[in-house]
Amino acid sequence: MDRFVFEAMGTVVSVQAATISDAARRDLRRVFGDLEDRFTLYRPDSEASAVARRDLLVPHASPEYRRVYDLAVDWRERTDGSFTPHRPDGVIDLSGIVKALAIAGSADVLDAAGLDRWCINAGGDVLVSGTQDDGNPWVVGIVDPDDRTALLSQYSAPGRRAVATSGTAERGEHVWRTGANATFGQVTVVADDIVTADVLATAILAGGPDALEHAQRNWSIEVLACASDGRLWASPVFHAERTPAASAEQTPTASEDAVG
Amino acid sequence: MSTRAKIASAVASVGVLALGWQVGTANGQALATTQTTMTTGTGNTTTTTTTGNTTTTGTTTTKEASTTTAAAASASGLTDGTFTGTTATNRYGSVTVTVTVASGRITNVTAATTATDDHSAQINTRTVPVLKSEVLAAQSASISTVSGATYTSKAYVTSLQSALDQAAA
Repeated sequence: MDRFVFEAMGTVVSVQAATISDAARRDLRRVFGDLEDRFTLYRPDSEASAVARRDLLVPHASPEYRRVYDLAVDWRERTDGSFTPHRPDGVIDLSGIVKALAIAGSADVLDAAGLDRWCINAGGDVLVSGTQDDGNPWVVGIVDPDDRTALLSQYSAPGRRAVATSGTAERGEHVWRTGANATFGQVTVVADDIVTADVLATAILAGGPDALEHAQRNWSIEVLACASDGRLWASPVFHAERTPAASAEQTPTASEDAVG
Repeated sequence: MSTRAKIASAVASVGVLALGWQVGTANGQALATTQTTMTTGTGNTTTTTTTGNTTTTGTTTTKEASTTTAAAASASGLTDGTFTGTTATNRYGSVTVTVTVASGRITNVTAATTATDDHSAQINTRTVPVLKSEVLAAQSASISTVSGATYTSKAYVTSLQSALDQAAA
């Protein structure tokens, strides 16, 4: 498989596909670059920095800015406030959702290039389509929050799936908490699309077990949440010795054994 | 409140001396029960969990132990029969635990969940607390890519994803 690795949004993007043409590479860079130019808070001349300084009010911002802002506010409502674009200091920070949108935009580039088997990883958030070259599913390793050189678990994607992880390990406490909830140190969410996965991973990290329950109630997702004290919460797909297909048959037998 | 905690509170009211469980469920069905022995010493409680394929430890178990110890003081043994605990309710629904005892031993534990809506019935027990050892381990050789907390360009250099990218280059 062809592999294209480039820097964007302060992190590194890795794209795998059968062949990635020069035109596709340009388009992929442009998708990330255009969003970064508008939404970065690391450059004073960006539109997001102007909004942060209140030189520019949201209602007067560009349609492109307001579209993303409105999307983030929608997600704030849908997650009962666990996800929010507003930092405690009042600054609007859309960087999380912007990276997810860049991944979604990259998927459009690859789809438009006629590719149906690909894997995009932007700074640890992953979107895959189809299978690997050999027909095996894409397998996404999940970093151990206690040891970033080790893997905690894995997820085999049955087709197009998004796997997003939010954590406090890499960039420090960059995810601000809605309450005083610091139950989770790392949360991985699997969803059908990358924005949902990314937003809900952030919401659960920020909002703790209540947000986890709320997310599970409202979306079809898989979750692997690691508590700061070492406890884990896991959807059945992440349980050992229980592949999704086999679990229905295996588990009753196991329970009888346990009772006997 | 976790499912296990909900069950713990419901079971405590039954006055059962020894009880443990594994909640491993899919689509709202309680799929597994476990057998547990608890020995009550003087002044402190030791919980030993014996199960076919799981163990329970941690904060929740400690909480369970403290709530069931009171019952243990007045209970000399287990009476045969089927016992239904007080229903524990939260804003998403309720959990009712039923325990079956035969020949002085717990032979079955079921947790019936009723939810405020049908979807909650499915998800109430979907994401459950587990031990690290109970989580599906990664098969390093088959990993295509790595998901983790966002790394900076600088931190990428020492990341597993970087290693994968290097290996393929």
